[in-house]
Amino acid sequence: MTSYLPAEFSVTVQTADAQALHLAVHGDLDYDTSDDFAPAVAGALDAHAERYGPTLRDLHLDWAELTAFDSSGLSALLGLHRRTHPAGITLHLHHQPVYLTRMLKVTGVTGHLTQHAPAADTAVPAEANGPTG
Amino acid sequence: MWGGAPYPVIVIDRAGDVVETNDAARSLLLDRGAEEPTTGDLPRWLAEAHDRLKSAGTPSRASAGAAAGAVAGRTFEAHPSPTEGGDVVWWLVENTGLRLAEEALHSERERAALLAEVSGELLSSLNVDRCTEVTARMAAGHLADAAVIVAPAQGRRHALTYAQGEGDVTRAVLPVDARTVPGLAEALQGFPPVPTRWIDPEGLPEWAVPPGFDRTIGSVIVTPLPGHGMPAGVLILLRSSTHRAFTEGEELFARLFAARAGAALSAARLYAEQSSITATLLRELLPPRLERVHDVDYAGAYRASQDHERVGGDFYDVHPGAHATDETFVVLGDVAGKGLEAAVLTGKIRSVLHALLPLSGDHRQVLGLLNGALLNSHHTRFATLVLTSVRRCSEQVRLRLTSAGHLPPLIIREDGRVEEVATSGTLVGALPRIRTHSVDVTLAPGETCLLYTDGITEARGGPLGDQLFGEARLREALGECARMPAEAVVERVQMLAAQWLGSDRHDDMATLAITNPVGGHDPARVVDGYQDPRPRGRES
Repeated sequence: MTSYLPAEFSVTVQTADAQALHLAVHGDLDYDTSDDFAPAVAGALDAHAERYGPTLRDLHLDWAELTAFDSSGLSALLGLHRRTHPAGITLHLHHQPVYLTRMLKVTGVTGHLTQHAPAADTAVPAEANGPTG
Repeated sequence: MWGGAPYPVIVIDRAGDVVETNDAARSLLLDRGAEEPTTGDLPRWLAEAHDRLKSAGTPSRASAGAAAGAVAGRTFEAHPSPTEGGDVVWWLVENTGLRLAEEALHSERERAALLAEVSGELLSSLNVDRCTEVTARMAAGHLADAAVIVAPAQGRRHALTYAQGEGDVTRAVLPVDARTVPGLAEALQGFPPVPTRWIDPEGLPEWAVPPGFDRTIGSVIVTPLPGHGMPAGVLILLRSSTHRAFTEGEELFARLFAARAGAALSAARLYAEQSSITATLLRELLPPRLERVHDVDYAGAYRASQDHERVGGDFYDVHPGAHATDETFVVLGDVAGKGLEAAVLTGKIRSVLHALLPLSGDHRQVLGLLNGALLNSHHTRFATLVLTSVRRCSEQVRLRLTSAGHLPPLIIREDGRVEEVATSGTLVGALPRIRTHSVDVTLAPGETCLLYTDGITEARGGPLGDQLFGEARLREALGECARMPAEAVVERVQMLAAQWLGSDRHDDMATLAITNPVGGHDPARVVDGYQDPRPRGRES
């Protein structure tokens, strides 16, 4: 496990393989910490890309340890989607608290955030099948 | 015998007469040839030390009986060593360097303490006037007899702050020609940095002398007050002719002082500018006063976050239709984030919506255009809002509501039921495409539609201090607001949320009520949504 930020808010790597990366979000993701979210996740994505190459297809975010979430947090999450989707990485949300589910539903972004991301244009088809074979 | 001694040596006999001296002593005492000095040439302090030594008898320790004093502008310690013949040999050891170093150290300590005091006094205030006053007073008290601070020009005029000695600080705003004081124009420009300048007191214009300063001015220096990127002003120090002129050390110190004062002044000025910009922006962003429009009551309440840095992102507007038959367009929204960036985005949204008023009948189109206008490749700052088109139809008020990712509006029915309006849609400003679903609602007399932001439902407090006010509590509170006027509904919601909060920090809270007033509608004037063309004088 790698901790990217101190206790109040952090993103940790749960498991990782070539195609999937599981991250857990701990603490408050709000106005005060939302600026730290992007660098923390980017750090995990970079580490993954360094180890496996550009093979990541699924990014799983576990929200079980989330303690607060506000509109700035949602803004940060939308920002993450804006980067991962074109890269062919699909987002998956797990164990989100009721208030997070509610906020995603009210703001109408649930489907958008987790929509399937087709493989990036830059990926060569043969390569996409490579890691499993 | 003592010729080779490195120190001046004077041998004095019992009677107090000088018996012998060496070359060093002779040149020190007499400043002339090889003549032998006499008792009269001895400095008084040395003669007295010799007398004391005689009356005390032979000193038991070598250090006893030592004295110190000045000779010819230098200072010495004189150490006596009695001889067997009863004479006393006085060794003079010069300590001028040590004394000067000690004096310098003392004055450095004083200056360091003064600088610390300056910083402490100045940095505790972000008020420009107070900072200027403190700087002038301290400069006049510690650096010179009087001080003048020339602030950067406001138009053609400069604010001048005068201080002298222990007296009061006076201020004036005068049209000043900076060229009349040598070096002032350059110092006011601030860049390139100019050194402190000595100027001729004769040529000093009248405005540069503190009112009531009646002494003759002996020396004047002009020191820039360096700021952050822009000059914070200029400090002019004046000393009267009876006072000694500025030494090199004092001039250097004046520059150090000016640097501290300049930093504090420009910080204060920057803060004043920022708070005035914030105030200007806020004035633009303040929600409008609401009232009855075309026989429908509107009431809004806005409670800004107490956190002053976190200027709010909540807003609402009511754009009345041109005629009673036209729809009134109502908007309530909330911008993600806080602070000036959120406030600026709020302003942008309100302007775009205002411009789109001619299209306001088509909520989907309005939101689509707004989304396009807000989309930004740099960030995903978004807004959620509710659009409502309101039109009176006879006894009833018809609403068409569209939520763009906002909390659902609540309807307070006449019998106290509270219904959630099932409109839904996507937030605006972050996604390339949005979807919306509008819902039509009819308000009977005494019924209210409430729009609100999450500052209400997410107010954290309650008996344990950590619970959210929540939608359930809000609905419960609204159940008691049936048939209430719009004003009373928003007052009650704001009051309950505020009570729930206790003294905790909170986000912005905005509420807007649209009420079909009980008996407030004049059916004689409007029939089926069309205005009766015949004028009716009800007042007559």
